[in-house]
Amino acid sequence: MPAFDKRVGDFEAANTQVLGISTDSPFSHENWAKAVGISRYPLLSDVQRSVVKDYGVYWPDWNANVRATFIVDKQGKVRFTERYGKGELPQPDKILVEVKKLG
Amino acid sequence: MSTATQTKSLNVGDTAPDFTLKTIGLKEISLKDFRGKNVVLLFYPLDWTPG
Repeated sequence: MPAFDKRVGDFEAANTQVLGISTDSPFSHENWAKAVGISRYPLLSDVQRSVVKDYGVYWPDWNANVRATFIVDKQGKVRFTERYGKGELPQPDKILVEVKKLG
Repeated sequence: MSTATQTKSLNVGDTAPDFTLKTIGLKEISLKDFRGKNVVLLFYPLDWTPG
């Protein structure tokens, strides 16, 4: 998500860490991050599919996960969730507004 | 929500399950490393998909 990479500073200013997660390996992540320009936030590898199942976003058809965003607050509680259909992407501006509501 | 893609759902108000995953360079990162900050988790389907 290069759109979020460009806005990492705005999220940091709101005391917020951005993390990307997919079921790809760290080696795939490295190539992809270089190709599309993601360098300011970590891409995590859920190769066991355990986290995507814990979060209810596992997609059996592809043995992968659907596109979704979760906002977790300072105490570790889920405060916002959003799932995306085909062609839909998370919007950094919208997510930033939601984060700022948490203070 | 209940769709065929979900094994279980995680909703607003629930405790976010902790995890420890490897990132580029094989460094391990845990959700709890960021306690005291807000965290945005961007789940995306596969590398090389849009976004």
